[in-house]
Amino acid sequence: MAGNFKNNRHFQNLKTLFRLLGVYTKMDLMWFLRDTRYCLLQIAADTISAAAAVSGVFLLSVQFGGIGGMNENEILFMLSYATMVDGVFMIFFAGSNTGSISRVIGRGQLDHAVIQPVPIWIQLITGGFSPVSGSSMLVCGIALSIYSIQRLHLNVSIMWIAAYLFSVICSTVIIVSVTYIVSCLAFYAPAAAEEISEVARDLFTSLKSYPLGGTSWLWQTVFCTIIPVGLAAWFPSSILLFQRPNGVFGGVRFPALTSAVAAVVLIAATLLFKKGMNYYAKNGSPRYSGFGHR
Amino acid sequence: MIKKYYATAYMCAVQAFDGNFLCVTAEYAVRFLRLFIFILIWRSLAAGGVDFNGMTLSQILTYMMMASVLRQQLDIITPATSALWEGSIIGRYTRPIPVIGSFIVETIGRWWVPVFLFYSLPVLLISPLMGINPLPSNYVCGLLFAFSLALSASLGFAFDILFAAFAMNLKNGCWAAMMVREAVSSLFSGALIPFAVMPWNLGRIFELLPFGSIANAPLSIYIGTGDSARLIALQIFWNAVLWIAAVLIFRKSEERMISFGG
Repeated sequence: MAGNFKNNRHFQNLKTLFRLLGVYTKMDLMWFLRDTRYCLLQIAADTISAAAAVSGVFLLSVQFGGIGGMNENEILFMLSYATMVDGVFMIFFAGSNTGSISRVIGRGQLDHAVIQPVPIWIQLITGGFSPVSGSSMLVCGIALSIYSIQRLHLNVSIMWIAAYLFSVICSTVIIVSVTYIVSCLAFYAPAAAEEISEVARDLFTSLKSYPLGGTSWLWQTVFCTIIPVGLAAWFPSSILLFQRPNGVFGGVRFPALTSAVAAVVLIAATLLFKKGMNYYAKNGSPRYSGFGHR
Repeated sequence: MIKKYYATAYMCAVQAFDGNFLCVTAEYAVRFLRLFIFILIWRSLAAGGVDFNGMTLSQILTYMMMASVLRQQLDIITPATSALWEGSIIGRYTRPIPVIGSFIVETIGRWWVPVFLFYSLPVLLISPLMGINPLPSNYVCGLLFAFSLALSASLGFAFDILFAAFAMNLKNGCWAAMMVREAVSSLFSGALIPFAVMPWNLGRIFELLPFGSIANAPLSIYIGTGDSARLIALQIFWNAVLWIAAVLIFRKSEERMISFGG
């Protein structure tokens, strides 16, 4: 029975996943030790970018005593949540262009993944894992979250922490999935869409820090479904802050909408990516032409 | 003489969409969405009876729209740093125009012309439909704005050349430094939030910094809330200081230029 379990394909995949996460952790640590100056420069750059990204909205909230139905401390909590989401993204998808997958597709580099004896989804989850060089945003997010929770005097329970972590994971899944959905264009237009994942990511980077509570019901719905930038920080934060007893989407403490949308976009991204891969298998990449490839 | 610069700008302008149509149009869509969300937020603040430190909602909306429309001119990023990163900078030394001049006309051709035609102009035309007045406060403000915008663009180029020189000294770390620059420039320049509505009098301090002369100065003049004479004098001062520094430091840094390729 135990032998059957160990030979199970899913168990083997899980083992490979953790083994690769270990390998990438070691490689990231080695980069830090061998090239400390540039690694620290990268960490400092991420930290300053994180601070700059939240400063604008925070300054506005200080000036006006809050924005979009959130007070100054609640805005700080929302911004800490946004930084946490960025932190998780940076740790898992900042390296090896796994978060900028249109570059990999457009440059014909998927062939490098296809020849590996490891499922592509495992390669995509592990390939960019940078727990040392990519950790600065997450550290900033954790510190800012603790500070804002203290200022808010929130009654934090184990269940609340679990809901918080689950929400952060769902928000990250939404960002990654939407980026992958848009990036699938690169299968069909490799040159024209090579950099499109950066644009998709920029949609969330530049808009997720804005509280949408002051906007109309229609726009809140649009920004939480069709263009889900509101689910990357604002909406899950307001759920966690108990701001929505009878809110737009009902009085749910569990991040129901965020997780539902995360599931939908994840399924859509998986299906579209598979479809794109089939196209890629038949047509290859035009990069493998007289111009060569990178 | 002018013909060489014009030819370079023209080549870059016609290449702007080459094989890059999807990314460029998606970028314009995201930029417009950002402006749209800003408008919603500022309107919601006004509906809540917030005091904008003497500015009206109409002025704020015009300011935000012009910041979006003129983003390319107010946040100048020439190909200097990316060319250094990629190694393609070497090609500029074989062309019959000075390297700095080449970066400037490439930026004008590749970014200013296509963005104006396909983003700025359409947004300006539809702005009345969004309830935004696209016109300057009065014709004097309009004229002073044009002068201030030219000084702002010049300052932006000086900043970028200085930054490229800095990147040459950072060698492989120039990408990280570029990230920092992009992150802080919109906040400190006033392109993200008008200085007039910043707390703790931060706007007063930011206004005196060279970054403040880039976006806040021309936009404040445009909506008629800034002291034009003082803002333009500051812009001239920073232009003089930064251009001298940029040319000297760039020349010195060229000797240390190393590129590993991107």
